[in-house]
Amino acid sequence: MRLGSDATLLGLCPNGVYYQEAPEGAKQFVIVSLVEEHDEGTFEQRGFEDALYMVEARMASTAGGNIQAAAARIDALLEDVPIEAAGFHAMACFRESRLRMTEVDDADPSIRWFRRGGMYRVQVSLV
Amino acid sequence: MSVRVQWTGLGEFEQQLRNLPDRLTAEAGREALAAANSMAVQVRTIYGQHAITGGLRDSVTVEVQEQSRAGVAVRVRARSPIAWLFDNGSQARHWLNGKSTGKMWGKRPPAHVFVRTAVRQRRSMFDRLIGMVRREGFKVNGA
Repeated sequence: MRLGSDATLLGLCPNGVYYQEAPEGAKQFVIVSLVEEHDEGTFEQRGFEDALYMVEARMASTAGGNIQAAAARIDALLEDVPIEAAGFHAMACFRESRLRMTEVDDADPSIRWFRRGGMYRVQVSLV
Repeated sequence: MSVRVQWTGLGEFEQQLRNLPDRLTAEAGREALAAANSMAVQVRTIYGQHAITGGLRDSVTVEVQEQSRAGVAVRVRARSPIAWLFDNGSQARHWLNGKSTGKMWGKRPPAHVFVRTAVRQRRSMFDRLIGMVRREGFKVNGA
């Protein structure tokens, strides 16, 4: 995967890139999740797939780190860049909206979780 | 050689165009409201499956923002302060050492219930609206 193998992004988020949730104890990482997907038919068969992904960096305030740089790197890797996937032709990849949120840790209110990233639309056609 | 263009029924066509917005706005308004209500019911149902206090489920509202000759706008909102975290996941609902805590079942992955339901309902509504204007004799391209 492009995000998970990018040295710059992993330098900013050393715990790695995960789908849906990160392991316990992770403090600087990227989360990717599928928001919504639908298939478009052409000539009575599946023509292309259209998916919306949430991609965001998350960092605990106790870990330091540069959340802005991580979000910028995510955008550089995904915005208007053809996504390579076996069995598909890349059509489009672009950000639909920006995400920015701060969570207060329930257990320790002195800890903040910074979250930045975006909703990315990925469209691919079948080979 | 003379060239002549003859319009037949132009007056009636103009009259139809003038009448179109009122009739279509009313019908589109019903479609938009139906889509919004349907979305709200679906979201409340899923929120209800995770209800502890019911605050999240009860916070979902449908508001008609505009219903005029020019257009229709209906907004579905989840007003609960935990709505965003429920939809986009929470990392903070656990101890950093792994011990679970809080009312929201510890750390949770993103559910995307709200946005996912909204996108599907909007797509379905667009299909019905396109069908509506096609029925009126308009040609819709790129839909």
